Amino acid sequence: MTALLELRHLTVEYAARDRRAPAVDDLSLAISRGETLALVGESGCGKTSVGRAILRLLEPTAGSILFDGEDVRTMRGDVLQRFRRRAQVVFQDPNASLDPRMRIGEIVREGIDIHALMPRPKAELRVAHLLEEVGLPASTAARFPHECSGGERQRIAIARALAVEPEFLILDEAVSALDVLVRQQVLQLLATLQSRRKLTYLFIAHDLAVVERVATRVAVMHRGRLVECAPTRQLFSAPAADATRALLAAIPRIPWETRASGEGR
Amino acid sequence: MSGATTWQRLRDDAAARTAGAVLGAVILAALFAPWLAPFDPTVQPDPVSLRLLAPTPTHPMGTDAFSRDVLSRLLHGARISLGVAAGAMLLSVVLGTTLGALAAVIGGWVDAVVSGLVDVLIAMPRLLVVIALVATFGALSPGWLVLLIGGSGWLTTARIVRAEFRDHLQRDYVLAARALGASRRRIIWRHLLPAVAPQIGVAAALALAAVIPLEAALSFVGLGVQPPMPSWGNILMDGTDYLTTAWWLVVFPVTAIALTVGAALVLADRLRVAIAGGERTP
Repeated sequence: MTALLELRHLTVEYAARDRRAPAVDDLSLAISRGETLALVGESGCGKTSVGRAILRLLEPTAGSILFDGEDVRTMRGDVLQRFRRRAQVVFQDPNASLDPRMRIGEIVREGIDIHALMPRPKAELRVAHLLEEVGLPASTAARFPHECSGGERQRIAIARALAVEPEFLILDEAVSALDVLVRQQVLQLLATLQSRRKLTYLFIAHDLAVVERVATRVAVMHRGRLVECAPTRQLFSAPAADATRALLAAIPRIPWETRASGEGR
Repeated sequence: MSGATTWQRLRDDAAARTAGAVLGAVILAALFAPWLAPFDPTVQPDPVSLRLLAPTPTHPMGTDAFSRDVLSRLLHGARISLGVAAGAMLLSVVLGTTLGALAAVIGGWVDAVVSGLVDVLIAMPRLLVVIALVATFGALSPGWLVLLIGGSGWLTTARIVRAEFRDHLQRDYVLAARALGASRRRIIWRHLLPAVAPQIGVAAALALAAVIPLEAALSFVGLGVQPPMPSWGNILMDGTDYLTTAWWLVVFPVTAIALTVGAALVLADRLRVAIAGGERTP
């Protein structure tokens, strides 16, 4: 397996009033093609900053971000636009991530329009297919975000990301805002899409419970630093870092529930 | 959910509809003044026997010291006053929106220059600045009035637009558009301006409410629209000499100004409420 994405000594600092506050501190990490790497940590640990830095939504202080061997930080013009098509994102709160003034059809079509991928009638057909691919009727295109449920909206956000045919998807707490039942359905959808489209996922979450079933490997962050990175099964059965043990202890357990993998605590 | 957008909530608001109707009526009256006015606003038919007549069916708002029909002068004055006000409002809103948007989106030195300029200029009393300029360059044509009043009124709009843009720039839907590769231009036109349009509407209504009295004040002190061309300000100025003997010369122009400004203020307020209503129910 070759690395699709490689972070080397990534550091992100926010300018605080009197000192520099590191959100991400010297983080190195590689993601292989086709895998799901979970990036986990309590809120404020810097995991969202990692995702945003990869997508060039914020400027890192130091380090490099290699996507398919090319440094994302130095990309410009056409090269950057090509990268934008290959790496996409789904955010946590579909209330906030969909423009409330646009119809679903326009929202899903935006990437196609930006990259001028196809003429309008064909694009509309494509939007219908995308909506069906994420489990929504094609007629959803005529609706507005506020006319859709939370689960539907998250499917729309996924369809928008898929519209530009990405190979890498950052799921930034993509299922955290959903209730348990809907979460399972969206996770199922993500798994289906991954195998069908050969997607690579960076799955950012604060909750280890969600990650257990979907991740190939888990990376744990604590106060901006990477404290542990291990295959999922190994991380759950033999956690090495204190931060990992704390996250495992935070998973709510029904006493009589038996677990298939690992013993949790 | 009913009343999905700010504009729909505004349409459902009785006070907003009333204010809109008042404003609309004043604008229509100004547009159709030549056909609505019973007399020529500048002709002085008989300065001896027809001067300072109290309201009668022929002269519903009486006549002034030069025997001119007050209603006709008010209708024609509305064209000048509202024309200058609308032009100045438009200029200040377009200027303020452009500069505020650029400051927020580009940031860096552009933001520093625009914000610095706003901070300095906003401390200056607008009426005095305008009076000083007019005093320097002499009485001004309506076109120059628009430039002067509009050019000095963009500060608050720029401030509002900059703050709103900066807020929306951090929201996930804009981040998602950036991740898709949307250009700054696209983000401004497709996402930010539609999002901030209601706030720009508030700024526009407030600008209108500020500009009408400003034009009236300038004309009142004789630095604005010059006689015999009528404007609400100079009609009022003519009337003050006869305040104790001919009330109609003051009451009607003041009512016209107050009604128009009041309607603009109510509209701004209701729009603000409509915006807040959207934020309460996401």
